[in-house]
Amino acid sequence: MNARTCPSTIDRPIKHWFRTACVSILSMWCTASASGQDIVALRNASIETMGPAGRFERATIVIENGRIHSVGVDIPIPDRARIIDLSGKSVLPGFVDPYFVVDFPLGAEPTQEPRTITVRGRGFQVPQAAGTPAAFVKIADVFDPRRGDWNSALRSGITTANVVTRGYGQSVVANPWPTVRLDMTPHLAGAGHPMIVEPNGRLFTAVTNDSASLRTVRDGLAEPRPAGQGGGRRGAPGARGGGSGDEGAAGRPAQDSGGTVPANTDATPSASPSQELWKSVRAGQQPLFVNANNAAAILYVLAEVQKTPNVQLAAVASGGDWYLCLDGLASYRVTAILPPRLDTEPRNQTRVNVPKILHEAGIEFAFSLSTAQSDYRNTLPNPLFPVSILVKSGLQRTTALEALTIRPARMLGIADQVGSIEPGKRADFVVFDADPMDATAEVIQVWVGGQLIHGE
Amino acid sequence: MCGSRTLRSSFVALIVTALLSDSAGAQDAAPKPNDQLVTNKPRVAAIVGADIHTVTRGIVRNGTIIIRDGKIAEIGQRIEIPADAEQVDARGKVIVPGFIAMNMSGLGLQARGADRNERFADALNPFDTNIKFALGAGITSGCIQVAGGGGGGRRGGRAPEARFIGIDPDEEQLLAQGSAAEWDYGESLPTCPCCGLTYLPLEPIDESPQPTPQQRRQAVIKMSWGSLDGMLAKENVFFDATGGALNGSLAQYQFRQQVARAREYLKALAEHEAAVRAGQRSQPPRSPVTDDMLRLVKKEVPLRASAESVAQIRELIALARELDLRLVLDRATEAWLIADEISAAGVPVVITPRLQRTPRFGEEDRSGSFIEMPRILEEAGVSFAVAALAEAISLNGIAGRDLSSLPLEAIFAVRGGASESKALEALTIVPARLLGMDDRLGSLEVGKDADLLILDGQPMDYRAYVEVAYVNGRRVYDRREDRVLPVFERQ
Repeated sequence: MNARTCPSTIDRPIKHWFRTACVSILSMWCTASASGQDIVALRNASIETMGPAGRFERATIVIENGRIHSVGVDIPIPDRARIIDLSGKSVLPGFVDPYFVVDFPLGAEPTQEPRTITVRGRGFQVPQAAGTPAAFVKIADVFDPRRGDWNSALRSGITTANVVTRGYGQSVVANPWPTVRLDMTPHLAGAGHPMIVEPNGRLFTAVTNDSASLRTVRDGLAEPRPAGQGGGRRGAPGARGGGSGDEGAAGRPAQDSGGTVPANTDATPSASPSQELWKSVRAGQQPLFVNANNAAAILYVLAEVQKTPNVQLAAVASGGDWYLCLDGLASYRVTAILPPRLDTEPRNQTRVNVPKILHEAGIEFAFSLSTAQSDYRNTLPNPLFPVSILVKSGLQRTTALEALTIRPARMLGIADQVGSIEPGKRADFVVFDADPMDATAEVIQVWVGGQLIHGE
Repeated sequence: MCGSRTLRSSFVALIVTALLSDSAGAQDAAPKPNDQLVTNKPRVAAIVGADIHTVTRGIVRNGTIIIRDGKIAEIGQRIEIPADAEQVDARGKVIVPGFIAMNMSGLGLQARGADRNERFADALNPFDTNIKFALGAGITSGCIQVAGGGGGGRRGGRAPEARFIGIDPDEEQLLAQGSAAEWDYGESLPTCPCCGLTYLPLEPIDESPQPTPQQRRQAVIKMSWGSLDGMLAKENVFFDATGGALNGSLAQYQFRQQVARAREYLKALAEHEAAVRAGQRSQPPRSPVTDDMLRLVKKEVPLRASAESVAQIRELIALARELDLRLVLDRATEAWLIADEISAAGVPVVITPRLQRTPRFGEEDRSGSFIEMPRILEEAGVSFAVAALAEAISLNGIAGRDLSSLPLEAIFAVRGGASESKALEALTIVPARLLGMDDRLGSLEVGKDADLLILDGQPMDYRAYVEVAYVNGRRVYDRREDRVLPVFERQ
């Protein structure tokens, strides 16, 4: 009981002794549930697996060691399992947010603003050099769990987040975690933080229609110049062509040899983290995540990406921006990331269901619940209210649910871990008290890694 | 031998890479075809049945225009319509070339990007709502102006109407949106503190020299809504000396010096090149002036200077003759007073027929503006383009003092006695010539860009609406669909 009330009261100024008592009870409860051998069975629930098994009614999920052991209608429940009855409730896979923006303090960030310098007592404004690209930030190095609204994210059912900043860098894949528990963790910052699932995340950048941000994309997508003829020759494709799959797919002969041949190191300086990431983006091993400032920025990025054969683009933009540049969009390799909401047509107030239009045009999309234009904080505890409106106005139910779960998981390359309820995947669930596409359905429980993080 | 093997082996590597990545991609998402790159494929269209005002080749009654690949393929009365053409019925309508604005700011461009001396090509915004307003007024292309790089003051024009400011608007974007209205009017026109509209100057023209304004960057952009292809038509259009940059003897002295230095440099450069060709060692000279100045001296671009009073006009004509430069006179309000001199000098002018300036004291017969000035210029043989009272589109075009009133200026020229054909030229072929783009814009001829308007009335009738606008052969505006202007059936 205490564990449940604690998160809501901890924000208010309360007396110290109460907090101590609360935390100690919590910690006991935590250690009990976090002990790895715990087996939990969720029974009698309607389960949207989002996997090939489809939907189950009155079914059971067995969780073991934080992973899904089995799921189905008549599956055996181990004797020592803790049984939780979810009659009348619906279970969805935990939501995956493909672009979760957090403002981390980045220290001396190079800005676009003019600097003011003082010469002999007079101040002069020195404009920043035109087209200075933003600095690359590795989120794992600046990660600070005290930033970010993790509580709201959790209560909305976001169990996996691709955590980015507003600028340019490498994301981390993290599990939102209630801040009340974070206070107890001894180490707060850094890549070793328990919230971080994957410290080496994906490449992301914000783009608008100006030279600076476009240069980031252009330089990154451009093939690095071959490091002299020697390097090119050493990248013997004969050795690689026959076999070992991963290496061959990445095959950039000049680059690979650049690392091994000392003579080349001056021509191709040892690849920085950003260069490595761009390399794998160019090879199509991971998508490029772009936050487009407006519809024109989408066009600019599409034009750049189209020059490269393998690059997969995942672009964040509002529904209105996607609506504007629909014409011919289907011919590009792009996955849209957009907030789930009804948009209005430009220059009038006619409502348009952009996700539905995108789907009908054959363009893949994923929802990002955490974007500024999404209402998820306002609609708590009904985070899927805007999605249900989209479904009511014509978007297919499965498409909508996939866009919250398995599709962003695939985009991030973590679909083997999360995104659906299948044996072997991490036990991340969102439990609703009714059908999730019922506009009044409330989130009553959120499970991450087999632990009940929110709800009772 | 060695080289060819390297080539072959890297080719094998490429194929392997392609195969592997293809098979990997096929499991996830269905790979999309790569060859349909172009967002808006140029289509073949045939517009049938309208009276076509070609501007340079007379009027074709009940004619047909074939548009292919963004260009005009055929114009005439008996034309076979190609089988693959989309046929557009325009019976009873009038077709004219798209209008060209000599002064624009704050549309189609992300002002923040262009202000910073960055490439115009990276700052375009083909989804700017103001583009639709411009198209509704008939403007299909124009000369956009932004302040020069490095803190160029507040003349960057208005940021595109930022209804969508991205998923995570930062403070800067919000501020830019907030102050956008303040940026609407560039140049020296003061704005009313309560309504924000420009005061139209009525007082006599002040001849005292003004501080030298910063040179503006200019480019020709097309109103190609929704497409970046072909939106930026030309950069380096003019050597800009508007806003009185050449007023006063000091400014003119410095300008002369610069021209002289540019000439010396070009001479030294020619000698250097000749020496290199002759096989001698030679150090290339370093340019003492800007590239803009070199283009001006090479006569690649004209000098564009504003000269309102008779004295300023005479000064500039003399200066251009002395330095052997091409000249375009901007805001030539008193040009009608010395129309014969301007005609003899062969200098084109840009005027705003609705501008009313009262005469100066003591020069009542020799100053001020006059509604009949377009007629007087026409009779003297001066070629003139018209410019609107302001450069930007404000308040969704309702104020009547902004860029969307451009066609109205030509209509006022007709009211003042100019012929309808000259007034239409002042919106089309004359500005095209001034911009150096008359090979592509300004009239309806085979081979030119398919930038045209389908009007529901006569071109110089203020009641006429633009029904449909084509830019680069693409249908970019439809009055019934876009609804930026009223839609009704006329009785």
